[in-house]
Amino acid sequence: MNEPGNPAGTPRPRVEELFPALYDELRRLARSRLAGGGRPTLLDTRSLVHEAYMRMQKDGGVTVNDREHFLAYAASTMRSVVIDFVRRRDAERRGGGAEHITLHTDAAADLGAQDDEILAVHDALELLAKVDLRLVRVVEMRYFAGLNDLEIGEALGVTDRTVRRDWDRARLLLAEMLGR
Amino acid sequence: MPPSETPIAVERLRRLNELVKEALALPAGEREGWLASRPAEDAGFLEALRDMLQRASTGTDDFMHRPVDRSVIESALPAADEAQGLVGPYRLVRELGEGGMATVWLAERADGAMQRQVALKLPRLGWARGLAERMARERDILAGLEHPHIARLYDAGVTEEGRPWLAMEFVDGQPIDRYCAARSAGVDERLALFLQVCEAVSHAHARLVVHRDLKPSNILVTNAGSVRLLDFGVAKLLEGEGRADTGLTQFHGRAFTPDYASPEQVRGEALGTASDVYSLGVVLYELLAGQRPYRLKRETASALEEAVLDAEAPPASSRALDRRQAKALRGDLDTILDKALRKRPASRYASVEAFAEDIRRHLAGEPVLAQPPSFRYRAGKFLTRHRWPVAAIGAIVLALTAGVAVALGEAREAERQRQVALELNRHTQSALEFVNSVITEGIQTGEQLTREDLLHRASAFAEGRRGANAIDRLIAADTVSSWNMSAGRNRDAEQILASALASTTPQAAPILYGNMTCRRGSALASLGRVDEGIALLMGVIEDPATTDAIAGYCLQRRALVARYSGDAANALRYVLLAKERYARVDNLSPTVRGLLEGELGYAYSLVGRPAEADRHYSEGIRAFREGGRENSLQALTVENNWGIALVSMGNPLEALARYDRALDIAERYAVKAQVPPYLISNRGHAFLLLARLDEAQESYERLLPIAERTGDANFVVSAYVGLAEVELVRGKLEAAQSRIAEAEAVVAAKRLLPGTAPVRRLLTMKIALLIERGRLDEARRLVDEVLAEFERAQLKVGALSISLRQRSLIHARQGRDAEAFADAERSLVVARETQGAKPHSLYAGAAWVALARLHEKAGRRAESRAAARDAREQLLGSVGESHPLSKEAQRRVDAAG
Repeated sequence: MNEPGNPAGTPRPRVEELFPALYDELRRLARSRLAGGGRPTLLDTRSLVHEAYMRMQKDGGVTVNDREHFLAYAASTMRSVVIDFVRRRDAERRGGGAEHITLHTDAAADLGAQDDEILAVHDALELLAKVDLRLVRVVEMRYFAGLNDLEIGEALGVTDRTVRRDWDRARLLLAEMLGR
Repeated sequence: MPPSETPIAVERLRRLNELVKEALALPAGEREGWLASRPAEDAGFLEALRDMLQRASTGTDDFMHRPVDRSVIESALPAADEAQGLVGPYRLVRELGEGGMATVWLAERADGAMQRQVALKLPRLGWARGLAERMARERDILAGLEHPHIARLYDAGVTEEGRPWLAMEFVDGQPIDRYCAARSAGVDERLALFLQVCEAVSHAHARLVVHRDLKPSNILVTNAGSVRLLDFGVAKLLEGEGRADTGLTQFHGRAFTPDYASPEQVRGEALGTASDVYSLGVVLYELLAGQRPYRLKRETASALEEAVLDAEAPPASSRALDRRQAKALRGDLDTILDKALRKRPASRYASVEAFAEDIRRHLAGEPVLAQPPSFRYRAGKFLTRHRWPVAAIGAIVLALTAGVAVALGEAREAERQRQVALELNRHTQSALEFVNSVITEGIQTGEQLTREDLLHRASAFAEGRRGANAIDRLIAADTVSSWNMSAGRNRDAEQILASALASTTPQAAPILYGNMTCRRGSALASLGRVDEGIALLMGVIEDPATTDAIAGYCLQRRALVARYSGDAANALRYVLLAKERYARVDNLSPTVRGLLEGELGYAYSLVGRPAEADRHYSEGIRAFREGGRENSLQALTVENNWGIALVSMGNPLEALARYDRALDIAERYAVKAQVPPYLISNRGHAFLLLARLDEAQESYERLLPIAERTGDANFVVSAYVGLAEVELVRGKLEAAQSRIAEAEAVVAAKRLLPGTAPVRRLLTMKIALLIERGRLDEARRLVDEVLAEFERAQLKVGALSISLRQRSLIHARQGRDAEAFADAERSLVVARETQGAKPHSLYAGAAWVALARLHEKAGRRAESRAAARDAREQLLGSVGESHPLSKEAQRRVDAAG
């Protein structure tokens, strides 16, 4: 008898299982803009998520029906990508703990401020997830993946007005939690 | 500082979320009035709410105003200018790959001085400063390594802009995993390649270099089949570097290759060569099993860390894709991988050389030096690796105090026996005849026989059937071996089975043969010959000719072996597989279904998933009822085990209902009105938790003589400790003291181990008594010991919650209010984690009461009432309103604010 890895019966691969591929794809897309020369014109992460979707669909990784689900998940993955980059840079700035290095350009200082906000929001979301998971999804899609309220609403199966209200409430709660 | 995730913080946020939702739904003009009309219990939220509503109405702040900017990511990426440019004497051709902090390019000499292509490593732009030193170190390290299986360093330098670069041997090859996959390499070929890797790492170790980032992408294989080890970017010299920069490694482990990181690496501890041994173990596991030993969740650093530290690696053979491969991996290779992948560095192979040597021995067909994990080792590994499953063991340990979970295996024997009889209709006559002859010829009229005597005679009868036909012999052996196993006489059962099986062939009676082989397998495993036993079981399970019913039976047996070895994950896995096979059997008997679900319940509680455990137990009982078998002995075992799971979830009231049902069944079968001691003990424990002292006393007084007669010291101690608790709660300290002394005498005489549950409960009682007597310093010392023991064993059970509450009480009595509060909160956290999907837990309720008392003492009346309200809710649902704690909670809620 064959011993399947999943003893409870093997359902078809879920979108969650795409994480590694998706993670790589998002990172690769982020860099490919540079390799092609010139700065990207769009500054939001939204285009990355959409492009990743199209590419993975072409590769047969996801089916069209999964699109809504995919966007929600891609946002969550985007959050990981962003946090990994920010953490890495953060550690680099601190010389990996071995030595202290001060980057003395203004740009770097600006970046730092934003990095702090991103990391703080990320941490606070961990707690918020224990209370209201949908708010976390909304924050991921809107803040980390730059999706608009309509797209978010479709992905979550709610109206864009609900998304707007969730977002307002999430932002207020996060600000309160972080003392901002 | 990230917001803390204490239950208090969560509860507070939950309430705040509700309130702000309510407020935002109102028109802006009505919010002020709404705020003013908040009841007193919301007082603590007013300030926050006011802030938030203020912010909501102005909307001018810039917090989270813009989504994360792409530049956040891109500024961390390398600039592309080198793609056109020159670096030192080299011209970049194309990018080969990207490491954590550097990119690697294919490059060639710009001046054409040499034809050869090199792999040029460059730091990413913007990070160059921190990196220069590290690249210089890599250069120094590589310069000292000269080995055919390590990519060579040709040249190094610094560009005009000050960017360091390294020119290394360009390896035209594939990562080892892809290389093997592309060639569909066999196990031996994979091992041979891996030995080359070991040589390279061993060479580095001999020069005091630890690689620290071993993974398939750093191990290339050329088309000629030669290995090259790459990327010493985070390698480290063992001497001359302190711990200071392990943060870097830890960081790299997390950011880039946590999948291969050793536990100590994940924890950010100092690393030795053992860390490389572990990573090599992961690489080999993946090469052989086709997947890594565990899947990691990457959502957060802490989840990742937890995964690496707690993840249990199932034997590679169990992950193999086909039977042939599984067979190749079972035994030596599983053992070798197990040794390489131990969580404690000291338990692994002492060196890569030793690791390689065992692989060579295996290839040469010599015995390997690693020992298969013994039961003790596995149990230990299990305890240290799993926080959750241990709740499981906790459930069992708890059971040891309160009684014992009945091994379903034995109960099932009787049922299996029935099944065989039914299935093999044509053999029924033979079986009956055998039983008949045992009873009529084997026993003289009026003769008084013990079960032992009967078994002896029956066994002799079975042996005496040599002259009979093969089927009759098998059936006699089947029957007798089953009786022997039910009586725990595994050795006799095994011998009977072995000789019966040897005297016939599978073809003679395929069904009986398969069944008996599996029974023999589990008898062997019980006798400590685990590998042999498993091999027999798997042989039948994997045989395509095996029917679903037998495969189901054998898989359940396999699950039992896993469970007895402390391997909770496989216990669950095999029960699930058994269920899958049984699902294809028509007319499955209700008893088999009931036992299967009960077994699933047990397995889920072992892996620390109380909610599922609860569901399956309930499913099991329903199956018994539907089949009219609700009063069977099998149903008794499931009721009893369900009760234990419920107690560990903090719900003694429901547990008692299960025990009562079990008692009801037991009394139907009881000989001389004697019900099993475990059941009496379990009920006594439930009564104690419910503060029903008279009934608790009655149970334990009934238990004591039975336990003394059967000589089970654990039950004797349980009885004394239970009686001590009854006396203590009644305020009779002297009587409690003498009960404790009696229990201590038994522990000393029988040398019961300090970590076991009866002994721990004894200590807990001693502490309670010391607290009552005001001997707080002694109590404190003892409770610290108990907690340290929990810590050591990584146990997270209801009992831990109790001990934390005890320490909180001691702190409070000695005036250390902050510590008292912290321990009470910890107690609550543990209670919450152990209650599964149950809405109410006695342990949570008790912790809330402790918090309410502490708030009250500190003059925080509103908080005290809020805690009392939570306590009341938890307690009413778990122990009912007449429990003293429920009454106290009610009193505190009612107290005028």
